[in-house]
Amino acid sequence: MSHTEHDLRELLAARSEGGRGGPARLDEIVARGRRIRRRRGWAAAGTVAAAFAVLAVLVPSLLSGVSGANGRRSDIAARVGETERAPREEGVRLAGARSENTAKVERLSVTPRSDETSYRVNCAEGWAFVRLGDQVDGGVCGAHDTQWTLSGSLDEAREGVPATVEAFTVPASQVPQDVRERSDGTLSSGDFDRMLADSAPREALWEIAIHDGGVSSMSCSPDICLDSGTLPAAHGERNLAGLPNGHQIEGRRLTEINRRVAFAPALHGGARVYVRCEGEELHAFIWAGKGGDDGVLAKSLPCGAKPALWEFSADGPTDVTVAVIRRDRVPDGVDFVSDLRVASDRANLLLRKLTPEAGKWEVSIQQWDEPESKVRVSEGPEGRSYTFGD
Amino acid sequence: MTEFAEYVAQRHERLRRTAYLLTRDWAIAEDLVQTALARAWLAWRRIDGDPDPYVYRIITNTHASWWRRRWRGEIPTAELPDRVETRDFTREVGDRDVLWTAIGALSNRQRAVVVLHYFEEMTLTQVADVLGCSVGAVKSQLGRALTRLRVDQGVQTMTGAER
Repeated sequence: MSHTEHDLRELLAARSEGGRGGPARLDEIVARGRRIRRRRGWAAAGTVAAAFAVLAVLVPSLLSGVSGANGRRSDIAARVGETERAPREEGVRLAGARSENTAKVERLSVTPRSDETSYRVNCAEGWAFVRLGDQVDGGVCGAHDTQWTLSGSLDEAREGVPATVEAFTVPASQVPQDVRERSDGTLSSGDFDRMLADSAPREALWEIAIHDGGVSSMSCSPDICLDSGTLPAAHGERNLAGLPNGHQIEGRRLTEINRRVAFAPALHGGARVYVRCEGEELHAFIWAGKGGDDGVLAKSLPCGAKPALWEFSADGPTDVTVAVIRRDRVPDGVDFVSDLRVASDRANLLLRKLTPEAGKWEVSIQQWDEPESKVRVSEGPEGRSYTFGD
Repeated sequence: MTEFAEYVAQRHERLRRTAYLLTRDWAIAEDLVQTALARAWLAWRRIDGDPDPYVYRIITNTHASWWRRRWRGEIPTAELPDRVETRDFTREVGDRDVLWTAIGALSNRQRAVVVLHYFEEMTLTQVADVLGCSVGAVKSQLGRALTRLRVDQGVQTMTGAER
């Protein structure tokens, strides 16, 4: 099936009609503009900044009078770039923390090494809030229709002055409209405390990293950002989960459980399969191969706030099949571990008794970017851990 | 009514629709447009001529900005049904859903190119100006996007089209 450009135009026009909201609220726009201006610190720096503000208005006008419209456009473009200036590079990590709970604040003590200190919050799903002094940032974080992160500069951090950064996440459904509307950088410390007090805790993976310098969009622990690259920071700091760096080969978001879904990724070397069931109480079966009558059940694991994970080494093209069912449908006492072929038969028998039903889950198949010879995996009482060679 | 107020009154709805196509969430779209217009208000006296390029640039920059940055664009997506039937897409709601889902699976940049070119009817040169990249990069992004959307490509015919 293919479409035409005309189809595309019609679809975009039709889908963008309607929606909530009414006419433009000029007073709110202007008020927001004033808040942004205050936030930029023009007023805080007193008369010197005010003088610069006047210059910022006057100079482009003067320039435009000389160089015409094209000259002005370049000037404006540069200013937009300044306003949106993104610390693109992954700086040196000052602190980091991971959490498995929403509505539970994490406090990180840092001593900035320069006046450019950045943070990044990665979430499985939800909204994140970060506070340092009077600065409170909040925003979408995690997989919604797209994958968002919350990151920015810690404006109040000063070189050599110890500071405590606080952060927490909440499910998106618990963020009231007034907080959403002020998430452009105008949230208050009271908003931070109120959100923390009003939100009900639940399990959900998230992490925060604080860097001297910038943060990149490509560094996120692969169990949180299922589609993320996992570049180490500038000085070789690993992702906060301590997992081997990798990238996604294949991924899907599914809306139906109790059925097998096959993947045929072209894998080679170290690889892992993540099954994430954020907000659900599910159980995952992962097969090596097509998962049919001759299948081998590689893993049988609970899947919920924490993803189910299967790591393996692929010598060539490897099929992977995954199914999830509700956790309460897994019979007690059934062995899905000792004999993997028998376990496969048992899982298939269980699935045949169930009919597909609604349920959200995701699968990500990731290829390690690091040679297996340099990664040592060990199982301990605290779970799986990794050590890395040079 | 001031010039800025007139601009907002005239363009708000269109900007909101564009923002929705980028974000696919009406609340975020409204937020995005308000933020863009607030920043435009701050810079209004510096804008000479048509404010649209400036405002669209803020919208696309903010959407992909460093504090709400999207990852590499390869979000896991629902399995797309690959139907063999050849019914006219425009008459079939199901087929529209397939295309809409596929647009949602595009990278941030690719979706911006598609929306600006096919919804805002910008030329590729204008798209490049808004996104701050070369026309070649826009062509490349658009080509990849149309391939993923299974849209027959007539990119070259659009290059010189005017808004």
